[in-house]
Amino acid sequence: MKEGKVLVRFRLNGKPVETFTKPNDTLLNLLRRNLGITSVKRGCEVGECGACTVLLDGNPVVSCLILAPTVEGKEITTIEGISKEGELHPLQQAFIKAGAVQCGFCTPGMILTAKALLDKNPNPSLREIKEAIQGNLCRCTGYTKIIQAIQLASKEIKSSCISD
Amino acid sequence: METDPYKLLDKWLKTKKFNVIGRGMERTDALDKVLGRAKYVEDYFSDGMLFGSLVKSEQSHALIQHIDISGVEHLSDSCSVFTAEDIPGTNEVGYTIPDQPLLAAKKVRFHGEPIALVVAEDPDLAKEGTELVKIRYKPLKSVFDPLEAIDSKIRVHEEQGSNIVLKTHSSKGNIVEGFSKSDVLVKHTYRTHYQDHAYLETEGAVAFPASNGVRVIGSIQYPHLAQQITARVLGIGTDQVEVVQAVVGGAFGGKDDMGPLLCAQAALIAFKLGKPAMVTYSREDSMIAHCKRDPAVVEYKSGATRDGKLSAIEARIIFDSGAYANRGPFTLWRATMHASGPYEVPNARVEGYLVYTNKVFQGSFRGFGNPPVQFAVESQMDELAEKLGMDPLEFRLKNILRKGSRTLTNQLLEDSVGIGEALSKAKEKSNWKEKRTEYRKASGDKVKGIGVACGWHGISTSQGVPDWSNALIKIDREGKVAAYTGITEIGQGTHTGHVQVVSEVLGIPTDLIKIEGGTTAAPDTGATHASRGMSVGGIGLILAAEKLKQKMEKTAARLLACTSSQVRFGRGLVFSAKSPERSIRWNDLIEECYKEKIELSAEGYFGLPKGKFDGKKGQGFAYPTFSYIVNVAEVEVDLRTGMTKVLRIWPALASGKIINPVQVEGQVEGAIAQGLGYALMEEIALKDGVVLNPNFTDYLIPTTFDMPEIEKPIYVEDLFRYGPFGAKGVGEMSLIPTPSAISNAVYHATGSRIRELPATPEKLYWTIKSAAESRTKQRKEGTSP
Amino acid sequence: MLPRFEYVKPDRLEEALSFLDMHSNESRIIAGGTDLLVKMREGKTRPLWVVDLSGIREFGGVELKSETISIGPLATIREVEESPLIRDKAPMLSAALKEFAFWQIKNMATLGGNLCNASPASDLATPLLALSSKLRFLSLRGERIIPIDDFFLGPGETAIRQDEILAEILIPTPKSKLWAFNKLGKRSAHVLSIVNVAAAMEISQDRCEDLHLALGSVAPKPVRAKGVENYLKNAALSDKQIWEASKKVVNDIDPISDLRASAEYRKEMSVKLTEKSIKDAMDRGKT
Repeated sequence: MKEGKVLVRFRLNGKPVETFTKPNDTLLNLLRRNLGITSVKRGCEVGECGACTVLLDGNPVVSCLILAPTVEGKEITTIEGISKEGELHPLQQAFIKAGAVQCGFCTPGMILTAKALLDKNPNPSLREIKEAIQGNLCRCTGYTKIIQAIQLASKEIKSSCISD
Repeated sequence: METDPYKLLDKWLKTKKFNVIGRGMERTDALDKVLGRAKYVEDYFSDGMLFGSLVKSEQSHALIQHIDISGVEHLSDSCSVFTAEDIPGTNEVGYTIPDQPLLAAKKVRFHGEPIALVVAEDPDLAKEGTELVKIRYKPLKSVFDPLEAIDSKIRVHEEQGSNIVLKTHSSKGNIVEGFSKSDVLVKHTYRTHYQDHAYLETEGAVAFPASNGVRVIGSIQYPHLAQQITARVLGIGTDQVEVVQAVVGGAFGGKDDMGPLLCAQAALIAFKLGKPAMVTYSREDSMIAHCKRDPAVVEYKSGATRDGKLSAIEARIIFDSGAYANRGPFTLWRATMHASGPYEVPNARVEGYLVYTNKVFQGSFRGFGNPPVQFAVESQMDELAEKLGMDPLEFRLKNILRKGSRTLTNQLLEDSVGIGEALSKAKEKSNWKEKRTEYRKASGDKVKGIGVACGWHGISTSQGVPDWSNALIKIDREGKVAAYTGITEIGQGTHTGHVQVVSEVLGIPTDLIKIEGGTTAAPDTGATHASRGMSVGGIGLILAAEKLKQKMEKTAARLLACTSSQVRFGRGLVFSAKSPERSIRWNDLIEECYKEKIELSAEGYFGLPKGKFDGKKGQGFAYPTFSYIVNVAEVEVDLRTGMTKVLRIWPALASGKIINPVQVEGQVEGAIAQGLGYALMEEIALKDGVVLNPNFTDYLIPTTFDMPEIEKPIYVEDLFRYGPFGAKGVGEMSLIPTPSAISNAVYHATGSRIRELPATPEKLYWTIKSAAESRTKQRKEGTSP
Repeated sequence: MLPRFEYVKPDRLEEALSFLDMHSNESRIIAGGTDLLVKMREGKTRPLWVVDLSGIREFGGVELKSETISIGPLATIREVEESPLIRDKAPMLSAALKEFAFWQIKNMATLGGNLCNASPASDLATPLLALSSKLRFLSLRGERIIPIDDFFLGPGETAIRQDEILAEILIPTPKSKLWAFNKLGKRSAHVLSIVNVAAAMEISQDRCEDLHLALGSVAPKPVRAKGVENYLKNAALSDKQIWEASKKVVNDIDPISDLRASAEYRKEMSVKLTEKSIKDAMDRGKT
């Protein structure tokens, strides 16, 4: 440990990962630089913009404020982990359909937060949606279409549940 | 065979039925973006790359006496430092005038100005190195206030005789006469502030050594400008610099200015050290060192007659340029020529001053000089209406520009002036009359108000500055179409609109078309700014696609046994107008053309016709056309705290043909969000030129809870004769009147007017309180009527 | 970029306590990390050791121990906000946490971390003050329990000793159901407080029997507004009386001007939000 390299083992998108990290590196840097997961975006590095959101054991967190060694034993989900067998997640489909994507920089984090919301609450109110994504800043859309996309995905998920 | 571009554009202008134009086609880049695989600059990160980190000035005005880099050399053998001395070419990157270095050489002119780049194999190490560069300064006196700077003896640029970079001017009629005829006069001073673009992706570029130069991938808005500046800095030819745009994480004008600088910085390292090099700004670097919306002081006097007609305006506009001229001459020019608002005014005198100060420099930002001046105009319009005892919306309708009107610069508007209709429709849709009356009667801690504001924005570059469209389209043997344009995709969705244009003209499905944009391998199509990406950018695509059809017509006619003029393209088929049941498949026609050795590529070029402008009087042709916007805003103000909540906005847009309504809505909604932030919360806190809030903790941009309901925009399709299918620009529009619509609604709710943005809760609270106190005082003294 | 340090993660409490006993000066405890990482990034703290306590099981969770609510210092904001026990027994805390930062941060930040960071603007210190909470500390030397009123000393300064760990947050179950929490910031959400006010009160026959009022972001530390509390003690709760009482709040606070607001505005808003909070709390008794 004195050498400044810490072994950290965790699950990333369902697969086990074992890697070394600097003790003073963030999860954001570990994912981007060491593991090539560039969908996790650097926006502010002080936990204010939500662009680096990942799911940690299913809960959204900002990876820029997580010390890499502390994810030992955890399950991390990034946008790469939410589409099943090449099929887009209903949220991904809805974001495309509703025109909720502009520059796209906030999109992976936004979708991950929205996914965590719908996983816990498949039928959120407008207020609950706004509350869930208030920490994911978007500078392009004014959020209107993002909120519509989440509502659309919520409907999709419900109707597919009924038909199952 | 029609080859006259004017006639071809006119043909499409008159077309009524479309296949894909006017449809909300899904974005071509959305899939990559929702999958997280879209590649932004920083995603090019790889081992073996070098990373540059910025050393910024700690002084706002000082001579650089010595730069000590020994600390960095001790940090690691792999570290190096680049300063002005290491620049092989010309250390000059000023946009309008040659006043700005890439890296400060002898002198720094603002706190945060780039002085050096520390380069290392690890970005963290490079960052660590920046703290070890020790600079000895000889501090000079600074000037921060633009009004003081006008007469100050302190020279931001000592070689220039004055801090005034530029004066602008426009005058018309006789204002003395105009004011003497006015029954009401209103005169106030308005102040607006720096606005940070706050794009979620900070500035960045990555450069790779190439056989005889460099290849640069940047977060940019104009590849050819980045190429030019990079070549100048490296002292090589433009042919030795290739620039390609990465996926851009928000730009809003800021990356038009910063993109080329970052490209040059990264290229400098890669070129000198022969290794791939990446430079990205941290959020702090970005907020401290990158250009922002010009702070402005607008002194405005206007008068109107009892019958509700504007009789004269007089305005003095002072733009704080910061340390460099950058785009200031253009933003100020635009502000000056838009200073009447979209209204007819017979007598006008407008003066503008662009003034250097020792602060971060201004730059392009959505609205480009227009938002500060429209804030003044639209506040004045409301006050004039009040003095006249008129409804502010009706007062605007009486003065609004219409077909046949002349603008402030006396430019005749022959067509494409839909704002009057937009204003009337917004009035109906928002239930304006009822709400105006109802909200007045409200009492309690929370009060509501409704306000209106208009905006206009010249499309394309100003006056005689050449503007053109250029595109190249190639069809491969499988029938796939690649369209090359210098216009960049910066998140706004223009490339999707471009696909629609090509699809419509060639009559083929959109999935056969790919836009190769934002690269110096494409023709120089000008910058993606001035709301011209879709409107001006689309013209060349129509013309190129038309040329291609002409190239194929003979072959098609032979296969269809008809004449060339009877050949029609549509729904992926080619058929004869005479007997539409006879058709051939697109791919078969392409194959046939290849066999017949018909070369299937074509370029479309169009130089926008421009009129004359008399610089002395500031009169004449200002812009090829204008887009127009109306916003009606409904707000609720908590009188206890001064907190304003915008409840609802009704936008009405007169931007010609709407190519893709979903993308246009996205532009409208996003621009409203930025306008709302500018109006209510966004504020760069400066003390002695030092940015105190270079982060999202204290530079606040709107969150989900700050956003109002935004109604579906009203579209008045006032076609522009040279626009593709009549389209004008959209991107900047909704930002422009948002601050004044909100401020006018706040006034309606509270009776208090904000003349200095942003209207933070605290500022509004004090304004309301002092108004209440002066009313009480008046009552006590019995001076109140 | 974070400064260089070493990372340790003790598995047991004793291990953590002895590590801190040896390295108290050069160590910083990491809980959620949301404050510590920002401070380290800004160079405001440069520890040699960062001690991760997340391996220590007894530091999590929320439970009722006889009449006292016990919150583990590593319980996250979200966990506490959503805890049925807190919603039932201390809804004021739950309401305050609802307005705390945003979801991602709430999933990371801990109650203990936030308290020990001692931000004057903390949104959770005020409800804990109004609820007369106590804090339990552990060190090799033993245990110590202090009222939260004695905990905050100034911005970033607390009564915790360098070898101590905050081990438990104790809230006596509130008797009254009358409470309010109000927060004002420069935007509607996801924002630092300009002022926040927590009020807990008991009323008997339209008279104020007891009032606990705490304010944040208007003094070097979160404060109790004793002047207001005493003024209203046993007073009839007329609008005029409440207004007069609320004006007294300026004697209990000592605001500064900063990027978020001027001292003068903070004073006025303290009065306004105090009045609103008292009335909001009273309204709870009417429904």
